[in-house]
Amino acid sequence: MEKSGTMNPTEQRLQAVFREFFNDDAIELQDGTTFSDIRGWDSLAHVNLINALEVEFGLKFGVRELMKMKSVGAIRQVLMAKASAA
Amino acid sequence: MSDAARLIARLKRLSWEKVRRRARRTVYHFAEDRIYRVPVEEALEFDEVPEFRFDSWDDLQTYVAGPGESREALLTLWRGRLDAGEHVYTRTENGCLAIYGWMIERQSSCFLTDVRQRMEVPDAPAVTYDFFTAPEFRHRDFYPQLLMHSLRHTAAHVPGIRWIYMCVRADDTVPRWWVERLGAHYCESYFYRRVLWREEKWRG
Repeated sequence: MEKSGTMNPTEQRLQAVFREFFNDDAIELQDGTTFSDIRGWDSLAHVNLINALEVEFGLKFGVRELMKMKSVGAIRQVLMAKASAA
Repeated sequence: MSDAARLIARLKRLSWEKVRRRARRTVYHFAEDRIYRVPVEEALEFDEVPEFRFDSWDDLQTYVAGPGESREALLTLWRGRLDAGEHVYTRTENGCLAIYGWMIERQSSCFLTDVRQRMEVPDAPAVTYDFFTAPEFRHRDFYPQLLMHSLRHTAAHVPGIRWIYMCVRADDTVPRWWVERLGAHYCESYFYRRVLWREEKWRG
């Protein structure tokens, strides 16, 4: 994932969801960002974050996609794949 | 340590939040157990995860007890379950039991402890229950992996069943979310409410 200025629209929206969800405008997403990098990203927050992403992007993730979404990079890849398939 | 000293030490450990929760629970308590089931043909579509083991007493023995827990009491309980023909799925990480979940091949009724009611189930289905992830292994998706693995394995290895049942507390948000996302069919709920000494139990 690129720095904010060079992000594509999907990445910008993804970062906006993270910032709003975790109430932290300083969040700069990287592909390697995981649970341990963001304060409050526990399993309860994760399921609510997934719900928020589904609302923002107007889609529903399948079980196998959900199992992959353990880092920002993985979430981004799933979102991009769904966007290109749509 | 005298009884008085023990009482003082215990009171010192109590936070106001704990006191408030206990006081509230004394006055009012509510619980909902939600019953779900998965048809065998749908369970067979899930993936088995090779890291999970079946009926491994060796794995169970790597359990590290939490504060205030008796490891011996748990092992005795688990040995009894295995001897009674129940089954367990386990996964260890670095020599420690990371997660486990139990399964009974055929169950016609069971007592739901949270709501203090007996549930009768038709056609003697398989039942999965008592899933637990050790705190240091949470946030790694072991729970949904075990859920899918146990459903698939049970569907493939228990002959003659049509359904696999499971029970989830309504306020157990993460397991409930995964059970519903896996497409388990909601059957009904069992409820318990107590206001002071007045108890109500119902289902619907």
